[in-house]
Amino acid sequence: MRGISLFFTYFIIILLLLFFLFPIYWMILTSVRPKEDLFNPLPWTFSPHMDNYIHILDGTFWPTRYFYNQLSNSLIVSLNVVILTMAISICGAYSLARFRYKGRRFFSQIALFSYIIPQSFLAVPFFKLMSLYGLIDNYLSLILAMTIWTSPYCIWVLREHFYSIPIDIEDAALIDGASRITILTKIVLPISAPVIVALSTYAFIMSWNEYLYALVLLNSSSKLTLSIGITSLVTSIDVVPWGSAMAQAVLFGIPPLIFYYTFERYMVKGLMAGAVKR
Amino acid sequence: MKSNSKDKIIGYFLITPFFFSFILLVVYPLFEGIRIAFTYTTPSGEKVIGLQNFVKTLNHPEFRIAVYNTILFLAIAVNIKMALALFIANLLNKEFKGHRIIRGLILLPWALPALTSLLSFKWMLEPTWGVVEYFITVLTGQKALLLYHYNTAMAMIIIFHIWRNTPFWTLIFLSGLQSIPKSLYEAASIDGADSVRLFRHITLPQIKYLYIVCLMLSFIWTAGEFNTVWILTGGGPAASTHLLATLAYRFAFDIGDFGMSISTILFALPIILLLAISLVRIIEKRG
Repeated sequence: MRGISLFFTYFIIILLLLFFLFPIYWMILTSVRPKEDLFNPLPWTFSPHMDNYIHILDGTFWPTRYFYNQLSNSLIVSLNVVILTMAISICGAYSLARFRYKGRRFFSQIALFSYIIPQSFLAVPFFKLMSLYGLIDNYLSLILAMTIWTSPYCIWVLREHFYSIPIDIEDAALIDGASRITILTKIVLPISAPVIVALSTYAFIMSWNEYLYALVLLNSSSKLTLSIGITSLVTSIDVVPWGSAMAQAVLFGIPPLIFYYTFERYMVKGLMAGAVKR
Repeated sequence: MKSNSKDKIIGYFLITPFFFSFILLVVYPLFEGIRIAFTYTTPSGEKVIGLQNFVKTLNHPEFRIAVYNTILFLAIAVNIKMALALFIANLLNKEFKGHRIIRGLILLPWALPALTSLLSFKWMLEPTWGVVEYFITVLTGQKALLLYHYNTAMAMIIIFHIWRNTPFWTLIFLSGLQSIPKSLYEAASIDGADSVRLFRHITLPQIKYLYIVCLMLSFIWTAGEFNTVWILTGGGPAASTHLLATLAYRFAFDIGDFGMSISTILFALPIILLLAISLVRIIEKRG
């Protein structure tokens, strides 16, 4: 690129980076600021400390005393969603990719359809349904909700992935007398491991981040997930402890961040495959 | 692979868990919801009242505001976000020093949970000590109270939405741009086309389909926005910044009227379903 256009590019990129990164920088800065420095508009602190994090993690800060409880609730929900979603999606995607039967096209259409519709529109009917079954304030309702919202994407991506596996391997195994299920578990799944791990983290992140359904379906304080916990610190206390609130928000953001950057390749590839293919 | 009848049974068997959960957790709640919309339902019980909920909702001032807000939000947020994403994708598609690192950094708002960043925005916009309010006070001599006036509160909701979602679409457009053959650009450059022309005559036609699909997808997803409004303003001031999804929550759980809550959603649902179904058709045709 020529000098002027290169300068222009860098100039715009610096502006964009400022816009996209400042809120994140400010959050981290607030979380390590000493109390007397908290309301300082200076974008720097001379005596950073980890007290906010320490007091959340050792449980001595009263408003965040449920941190570990909420963390384990979030983990229970997210891990169960991962297992259920992967079970449903692997079976479903393999069926769509490798078997010919009537209605196959319809099934892949509804997978795409449930990926597209906004889930928030179904929150209230879903709540009514779950109260009918007596599942309110029960993890199972949240696990079911998140499973149905994460599995369509996983089915879609896995189906594309199964298509890309050469069918000859499976044909050869069939001729050797292996059953379909053996082929799936012994041949297809091992070579699909990276995609399955990436999609598991997708399901994990989605359930970890979920707010609306957790808000609607859970209500006793011992059952709340971390997503509700970090926001209630800001929405339900009169004098908000902003330093701790920011520290908690950072802690909450770390697992998705790590997962996201580890599997970034798959997250984009997955979306491009099928759903928004050119 | 040929499918005999035994294979067909296995095929049906393997798709059943998904199909069953779709019926049980999406279709059934939807129809149950439609039924509830024709009843007067409070936490204590229900009775059938016909179309009254729809009339009540339609005449409710908060519903009218929420419809207006949702349309405004969709028109502004979606278009700016998508155009900005395409612009940034174009910028990042060029080869320059550090473009990998910059790509990774710009993705941060998308990689972080929305809740985390919403709390950060709420803190920056906090009336007494927030850094944004501080600088506005320094510059203008008075507080702006951005989250406490309708116009600025809506603006903040839109800005957050753009801030959070642009990186995601940038990524999608970037991989779309990278699949355009480089030879097209080279040929046109030799013919003396400048970068504006390259964009108009090569990039745009090549990316048009992707852009339209993404625009529709984003439109549907954005119509269901809940978290941004709920955390930033809680629908305030005076219930003026509600979108359809947050108003439905408010009707159900603050006022306790499930019929009105669901009828709020049902007014928008036909448009969303129509869009979703046509999008499924479009993607299928190309895929």
